[in-house]
Amino acid sequence: MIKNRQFIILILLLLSANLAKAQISLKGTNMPLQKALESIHEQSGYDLIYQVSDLENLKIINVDLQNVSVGKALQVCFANQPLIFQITDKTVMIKKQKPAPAKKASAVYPETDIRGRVIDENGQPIKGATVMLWGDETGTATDANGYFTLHTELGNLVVVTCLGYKRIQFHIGSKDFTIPLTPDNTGLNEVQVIGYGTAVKRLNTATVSSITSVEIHKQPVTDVLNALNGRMTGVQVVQASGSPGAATSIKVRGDNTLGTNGSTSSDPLYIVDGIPQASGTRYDVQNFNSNVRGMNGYTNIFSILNKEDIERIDVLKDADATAIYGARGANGVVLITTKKGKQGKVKINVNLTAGSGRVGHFIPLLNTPQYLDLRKEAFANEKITPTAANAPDLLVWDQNANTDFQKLLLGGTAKIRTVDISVSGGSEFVNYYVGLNYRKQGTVVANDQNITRGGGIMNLSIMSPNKMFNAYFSANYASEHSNLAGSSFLSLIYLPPNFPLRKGDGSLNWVNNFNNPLAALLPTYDAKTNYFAANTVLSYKLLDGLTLKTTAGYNTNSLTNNFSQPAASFNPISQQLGRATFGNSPTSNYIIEPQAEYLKKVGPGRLTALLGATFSQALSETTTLSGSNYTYDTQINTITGAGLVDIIYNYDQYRYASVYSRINYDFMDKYIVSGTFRRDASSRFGPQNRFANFGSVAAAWLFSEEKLIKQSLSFLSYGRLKFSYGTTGNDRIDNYMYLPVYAAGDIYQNIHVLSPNDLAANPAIKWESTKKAEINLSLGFLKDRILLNTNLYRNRSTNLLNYTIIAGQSGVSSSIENLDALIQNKGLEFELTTQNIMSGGFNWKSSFNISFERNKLLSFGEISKASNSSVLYIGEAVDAYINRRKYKYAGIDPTTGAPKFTDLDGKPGLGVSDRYIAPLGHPFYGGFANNFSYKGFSLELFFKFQSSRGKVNQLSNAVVPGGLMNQTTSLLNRWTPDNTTNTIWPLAVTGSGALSSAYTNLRNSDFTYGNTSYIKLKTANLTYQLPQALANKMKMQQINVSLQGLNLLAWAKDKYRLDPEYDYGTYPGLRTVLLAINCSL
Amino acid sequence: MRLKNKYVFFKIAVLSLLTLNCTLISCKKFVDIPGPKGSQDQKVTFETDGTATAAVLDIYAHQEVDAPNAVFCTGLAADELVSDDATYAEFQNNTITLESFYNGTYLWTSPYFEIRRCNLAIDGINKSATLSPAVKSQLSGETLFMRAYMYFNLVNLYGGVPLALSPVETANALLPRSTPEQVWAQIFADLQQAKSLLKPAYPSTDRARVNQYAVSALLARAYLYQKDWAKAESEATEVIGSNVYSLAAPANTFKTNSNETILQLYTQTGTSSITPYFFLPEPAVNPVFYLRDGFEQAFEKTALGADDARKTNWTAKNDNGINYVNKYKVPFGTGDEYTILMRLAEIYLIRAEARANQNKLTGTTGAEADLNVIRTRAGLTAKLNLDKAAMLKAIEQERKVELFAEYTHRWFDLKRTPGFTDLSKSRAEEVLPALKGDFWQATDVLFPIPGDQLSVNKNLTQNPGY
Repeated sequence: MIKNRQFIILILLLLSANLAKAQISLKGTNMPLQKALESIHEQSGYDLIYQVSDLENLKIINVDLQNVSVGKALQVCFANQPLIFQITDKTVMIKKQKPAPAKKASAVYPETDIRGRVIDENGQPIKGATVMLWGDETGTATDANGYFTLHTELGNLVVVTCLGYKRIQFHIGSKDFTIPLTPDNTGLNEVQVIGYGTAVKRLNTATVSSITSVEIHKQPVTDVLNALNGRMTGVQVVQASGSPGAATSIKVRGDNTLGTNGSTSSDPLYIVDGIPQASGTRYDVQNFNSNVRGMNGYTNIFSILNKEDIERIDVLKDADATAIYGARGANGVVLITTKKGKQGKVKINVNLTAGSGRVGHFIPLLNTPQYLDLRKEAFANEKITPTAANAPDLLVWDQNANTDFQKLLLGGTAKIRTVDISVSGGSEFVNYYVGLNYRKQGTVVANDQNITRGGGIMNLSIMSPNKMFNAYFSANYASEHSNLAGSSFLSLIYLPPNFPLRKGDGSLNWVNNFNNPLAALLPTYDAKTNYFAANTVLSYKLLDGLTLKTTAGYNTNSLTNNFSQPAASFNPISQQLGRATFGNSPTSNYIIEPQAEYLKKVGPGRLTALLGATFSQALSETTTLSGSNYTYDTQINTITGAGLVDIIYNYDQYRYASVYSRINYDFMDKYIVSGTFRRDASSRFGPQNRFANFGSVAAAWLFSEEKLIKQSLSFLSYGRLKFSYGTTGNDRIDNYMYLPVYAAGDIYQNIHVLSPNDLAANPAIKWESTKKAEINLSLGFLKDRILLNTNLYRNRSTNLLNYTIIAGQSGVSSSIENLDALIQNKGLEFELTTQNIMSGGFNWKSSFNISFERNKLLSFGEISKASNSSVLYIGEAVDAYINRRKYKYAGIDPTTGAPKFTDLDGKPGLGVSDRYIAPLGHPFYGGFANNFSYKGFSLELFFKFQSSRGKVNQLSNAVVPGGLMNQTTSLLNRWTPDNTTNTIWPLAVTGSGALSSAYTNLRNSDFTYGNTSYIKLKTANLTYQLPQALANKMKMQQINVSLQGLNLLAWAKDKYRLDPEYDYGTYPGLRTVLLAINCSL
Repeated sequence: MRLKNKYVFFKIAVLSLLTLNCTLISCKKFVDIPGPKGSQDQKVTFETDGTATAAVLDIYAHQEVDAPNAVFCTGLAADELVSDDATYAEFQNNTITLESFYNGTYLWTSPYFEIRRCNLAIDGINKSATLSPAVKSQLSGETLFMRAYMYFNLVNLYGGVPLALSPVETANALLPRSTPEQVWAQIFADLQQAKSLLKPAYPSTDRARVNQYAVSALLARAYLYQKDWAKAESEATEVIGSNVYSLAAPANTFKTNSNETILQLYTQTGTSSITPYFFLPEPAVNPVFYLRDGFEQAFEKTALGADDARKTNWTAKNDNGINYVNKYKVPFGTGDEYTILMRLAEIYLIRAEARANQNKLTGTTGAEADLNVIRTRAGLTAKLNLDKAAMLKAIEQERKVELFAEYTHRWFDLKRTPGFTDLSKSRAEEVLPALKGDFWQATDVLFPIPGDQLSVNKNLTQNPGY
């Protein structure tokens, strides 16, 4: 409770009330009136607004009330007191009775300037809090001392919001007052970013999952998208590998598409500060070398963005959220917002981190004696005599040599260093934020490979003195340099442990079957990425409630890279001269969005309307020079030394234009309806199908605001039911697919030939469309200490764009078509946040999320037409990457050691009809975070989990166990003549004998498909904030030191892969520990 | 207040409508972008001599890349080649599956890709009013030749195949198989038209584009296969009698500047795309494809007991004791070898066979004269006064050792020529069962129509035995 000597209005406010009993009980004699009012407030949750001075010395003579209404209680309390009161909704205005008869509030008070002050729970002023008039959102922000002025009428409803504090709203009772804010740990009053606007979470009709800088900062991730990993329902972060800079993408609520571009087709729309990113996570740089792809073949913009400069990431999921993005909204929308300057004095923040990562789990592999036993046994099983040609490991190489290729290739330590410095501040009219950053990140690969990036960001917002005109400018620059050479050597961890890397003469040893790891480390890679983004927003308040706004954004991202493979890096059977590739791929995007926003109190509610248009373009030009036939390796870093140069040029222009609108009506923050409409035009489609319409409707009911519920379900502090339905689209295909063209091809007789596109153009293609329906129920209990959010959704996608197979005799093997197929994604999502303990300075908060997704191909007109028809089954999940049509494994024949399979079709031999669709199981995924804080210490442990089925029991590259390649220790448990029962693996074979075909069937059976579930201690953070006194002594506002961990522990059924989160044969997520120091000056 | 509101609403409504209208109109224009830079539509491509030529050269460029697979697959299917690579076993054993990647992608689909390029070019050239007449007929001739060449391979590999002649892909997609006769008729029609359009002189250096003699050479081959002996002889005579070509020494036969070459395919490096599959990487390592054990015994000895010059020049042996093809010698880097599609030696052997079948056996206009031209070049003694059967045997033997591992010759020869002992059977039936054992079936002379093609075009029928 705050008292101000002068002139105090005391507001007891909690919008989402505490354990409110609608019925008031009050007993006492000679009780101070103020105490009585506090009790009424506590019992009812009603906001009572009055001036403390009015209540001075007023006491209640006698009171004894049992279960009466608030009105009745106040009537009794105010009997014979010089006070009047008025209850509006759940706000009680208490005023001193004046000699003149009171009139209705709005009629009484003339329009005037009111002045107020916003303070925190300690009485300290809060700067930058937003004070607005409910209904038309005209408002202001508090200054450094917490003061604000508003031009309005007394009695009007005012809303005060500030990040980290509970939002409050009340009717203005006087011209000068103080408003205390209480901290908000629930996030319900957080302002979320939605398409072309913002919305308070509790009132948001759109389904949005958000993560803010606080959570991003705590995680030692380098790619900002990875900060979402496991923390949102319905959002899966997929990274190609754990390697630095590896392409990261997000999948929102399952696959909606069959995909012409592989997994990128289900990428959401990524928007960074209002600018859509060209084609999602990454753009394809010419296929330099398949080895490099997935590591550096793509530029990953999200590894270039500096995570410390990111204010928040909002993922839009349902129809209401995404339909305003029309034809690009089907896969969800990811909005990334960078930090802005805030009103207040200059704040200088320095963040330093240093740490390292190592492979957390090595695959247990056979050592040389075990391996040689396996090989000898394989030869014996098949009665084949080993020769120098088929068994160099047994007859030529040293029988005692034992190289741990895993340690050799992945045993290093990856160092990470980051430096971030930012300066921000501002006044009422000018705010700024300037940041500089640097990061260097290594790998565990044997030689010295690093990604180094540095950058700067600045933004400035200016408001005219009359507050009618607002201008915002921002610029963001980053430069990244990488020399990561690729991950092709990952398969080399399975080399026979006695394989000699060098011959007797010191030259590299080659065997036909595999590469020499020393040769795999010889190619060099050098890539520079430059990213620049600029953004301007100009807005002008044209009329009362009407704001015109224009956003213009531009960004450019260019990758220059060079991959050089000296002659010595090649197996001489395939290539004997050096090669080098040089690529340059500048990409630029611009967007211009004129908008009009209209805000008005209409009737009892607030109307918000938005009308806007978009003109955007993405342009990319890729030039790749492939040099081969280098006479000298010394020339390999320049194209001029190449004997032969091949040039590939790609030009892609993508344009997009739309008009869109949204209308939202909020009836007293209790009933909210919203609708969006968008009409889109995309250059990816031919003139006949360029335009399409999308839209959505949504409604929310905050039933906890209903009197009846308030009275009968008092433990319920927040309850909201929400519904949305709408249509969104997907145009994520290559450009120009509708257009038949000739392009320059190879050189023939010194002439660049002109080649027709090998893909049949289809001028009839149009958008994929997804109909989304969702019901959402949000509940808060015990003053929102427990919050539960549940979503049930169903998305159905049709007109699926996919490559279709067309008979080869047509001269093309595929065409693109909108297929008559229907994919359904159904899901159930739960988010539970609880504040378990809040006492004695000890706080324990938990948040848990879990998503159940069911993906199903409901129907398909002509499934054989689809180019990926072999992995599509009606009634089954669409997963283009794993063929689940398997033989049914039936154990090992104890007498022969061969694998057996269940004969499903009754016919002799294994055929297509002996395969069945191995069950997908009941996949789910989620995360569980626990935050503990005590005094200056805070600890966060975040677990990520997933239940899934996929590839298991994978052999190394060798076709069979017993071939010329090492295997995992699981092979120790194999069938041998002496050990014929209860083994996991069938007998060892060499790969050349007749028995090896059994392994072909085994690989195609459900033996290789099983449980891939895992739980990971994904991140941990231990922070110690130095005592304020100490910080002040050091002339700092705040200092904290933290220990951050990533991929610390993992529990998985399959221990024969490096990291359960990534596929076999990919670089694992490293077990990383960082020490971070953060100081604010 | 109310009035003010109304006014505001009105203003907003007007503004909105105006904006919407303007936006929708400009949207349409805004997204109407030209095609990608560096690309052009078909019409433009055939407007000028230069671009039209570039489009036709594309057909040759693709052929160079696609060519090797037919060599390997048919060489394995015949009695020439073997491979350690298990993925080719189905060709080596004549057990080609419907799912075969090489059969589906390279033998069936690649030629049709080429045929589409030809069809588009023929259509473009015909419709063009701006090409110069000389270029127009040159390009038409070349394109028709290439289309005929593709169908020639297809009909010999598969029997009757769909005759895709339309420039519209979808119009060709569901055609059923034509009869072999219809395909042959199309081949002859295209070649005869090409011959009338082309000139004797090559349009460019290096003999890397089709001239009139190249057409005659293919016509001679086609007539031979169709047993039209007289026409085969006369076309062969046109080529031989032109005096444009002469046999080269075996060491130089496959060189870029060999005067024996009738048609070869240009590469920037002067290395054939076939070579890397045949060359010896290291003394004790086998090439991907090498000669079937015993093939080397097919070479005769010279009168002095020396090896056939072709054996010494065109084959070699590695440390493992296997014999491999050594016609082209430069696998990587820069060389002086192009892939040769047709050369004079074959034309001599065509004429020899055509004459022998017409019982023109001896003398300077007899089969023996042509046969002995080839034998003499290899250092072998002349064969004289053979009877027809012996002459045909001798010609087959000569084709075997002269044209081994060159395109589809051996496989097609085995299929098309009657057996030595039983004329009702093909040579394939005599030669292959002994080598392939139980794997061999009489129906293997035709490759299967790829399974995926049957499923996307229900009008296709499968060859017997699959």
